[in-house]
Amino acid sequence: MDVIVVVAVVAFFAAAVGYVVFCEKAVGSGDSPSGGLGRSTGS
Amino acid sequence: MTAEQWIILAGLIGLVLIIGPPLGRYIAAVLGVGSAPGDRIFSPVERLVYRLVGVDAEREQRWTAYALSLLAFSVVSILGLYGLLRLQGLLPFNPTGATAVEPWLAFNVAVSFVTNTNWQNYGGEATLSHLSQVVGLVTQNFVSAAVGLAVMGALIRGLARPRSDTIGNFWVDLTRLTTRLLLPLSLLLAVALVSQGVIQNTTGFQEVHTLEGAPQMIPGGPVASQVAIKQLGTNGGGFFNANSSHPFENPTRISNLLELAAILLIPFAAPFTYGTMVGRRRQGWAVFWAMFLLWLAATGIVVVAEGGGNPTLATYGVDQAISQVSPGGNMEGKEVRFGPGLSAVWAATTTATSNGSVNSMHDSYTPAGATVTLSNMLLGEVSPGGVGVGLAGMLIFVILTVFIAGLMVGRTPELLGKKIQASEMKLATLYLLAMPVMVLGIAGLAVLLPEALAARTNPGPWGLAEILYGVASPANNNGSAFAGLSSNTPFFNITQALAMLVGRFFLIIPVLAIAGSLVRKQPSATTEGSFPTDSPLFVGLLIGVIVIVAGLTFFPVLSLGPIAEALG
Repeated sequence: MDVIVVVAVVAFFAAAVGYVVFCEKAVGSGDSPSGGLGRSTGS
Repeated sequence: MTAEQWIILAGLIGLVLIIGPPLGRYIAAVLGVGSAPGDRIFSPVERLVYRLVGVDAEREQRWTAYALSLLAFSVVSILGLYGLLRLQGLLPFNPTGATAVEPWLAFNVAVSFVTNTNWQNYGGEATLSHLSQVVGLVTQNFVSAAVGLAVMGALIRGLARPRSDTIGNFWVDLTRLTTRLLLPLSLLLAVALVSQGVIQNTTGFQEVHTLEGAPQMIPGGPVASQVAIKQLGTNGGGFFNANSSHPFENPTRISNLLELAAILLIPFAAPFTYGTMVGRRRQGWAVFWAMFLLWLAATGIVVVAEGGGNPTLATYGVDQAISQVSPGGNMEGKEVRFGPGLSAVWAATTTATSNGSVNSMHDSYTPAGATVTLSNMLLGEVSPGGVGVGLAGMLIFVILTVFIAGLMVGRTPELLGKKIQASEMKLATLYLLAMPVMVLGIAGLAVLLPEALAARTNPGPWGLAEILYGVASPANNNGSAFAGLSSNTPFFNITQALAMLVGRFFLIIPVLAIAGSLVRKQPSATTEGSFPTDSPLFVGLLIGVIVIVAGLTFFPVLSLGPIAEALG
């Protein structure tokens, strides 16, 4: 049983590392060159 | 509430308002690079820690390195605590003769304390050795709180720094917040609690005889030192099963006030840390007022609901008014020394701060009171939330509010001059979705499984409320127990642990990613066209967004649970 628990914990944190990689891809992606969410209408 | 209890509540608010701003500025200094108050005392200790663990304190990290350091520290913490709980029967400092904790329960406890949740599917005095409590749980109480504050510091740096690539050093933040903030405050509070009668000894159970001659076992242990950090770090895990309703943890109304203040101090100081670190004090005050008004409204509703008494008893003509012999109101599940008033203030505070300690049993609250305690958690723990992560969560809502406001008035969303773009909104959405997916998914699964349904002590809407509370609390890293759910079962031990892990790390990772995204940006100058984020209008808008997001997500299930109970 102890082995199952340790494997479960390690598996979750491996998934969390994968989530870091996923979020890193989101960082900086999809931002428009104009600096806004698409067309900038502000002053 | 009695006049004395109103004075205590006013004193509590006064303490928060007086101590919050300077404490927030001190935390900013602790999170700052370079000199800070207490360098002569703390720097040698910190340098020794850095040398022992091989950390270069001068080297800052990108957000990914910061997040991976946090995850590495957490996985080692969980496995270490799990091993300690499994081996406690073979280890010293075990005067009660506690045996090994069963595997799935040990898993649940280890995850619970490392994630700053402190959900307890066990009775501390009956299940754990003193070694497990002091070395295992208390250590995690300190470092899990420091982790939350470190995340907050990293996010604020992301907003405050122009065109950088790094958001601080996780190991330095963890060390400095523990040595310079949590340890000194805990020491002071522990001494104050001992003066009120909170015990601090190393004894196990002592057998005494009552006046009738019956034997009674009196538990002992190092309680004050654990209670101090469990409140200051918004952890909440009690040394005893009865938590802060136990007279050895919380014996007097003074100790009750001290512990309440300890729960609120750091979360309400955090906005001032934010204001100081970004160099705009008014921004900090705006966030503070949003947090404070949400907490005050919740507290007021619970106080009125519990002070008004049990509506069912009222229909039978039972007198529930304050009198010479009764504190009045709904007294079921409450301590006479606190009455409905101070119990209600505690219940609203502990659920709003991700603390989770209880001085009364929430399952015995009126439906209106229970709806508020449940809603406090379902708001996402931002009013004011847990240490560090409460402010981080509130800043995510600030980003969402700025975005919505920008769409409403046709301006490019900006926060402190930094443009809020698609990447930040994607990450904020990931942050906002993780907790509801856990709460609604696991609660939905629980009502389908006979094993999970058997854990309820009430049928109907109140039973659903018990299940919902038993999932919402761990998913929000609160730890508050409704006291009506027998959740030490394989189903709840496993699903609650998953909820705690996701509720902690799958929220922290997007927060750090947002910090990493924002820190790269050059802030633009504030002009008359910029949307002000420190005005009363913005505070109102922020509160509205928080309430609407939670309402749209959870109103249906609340209406089937405690709201249906109130109307029935």
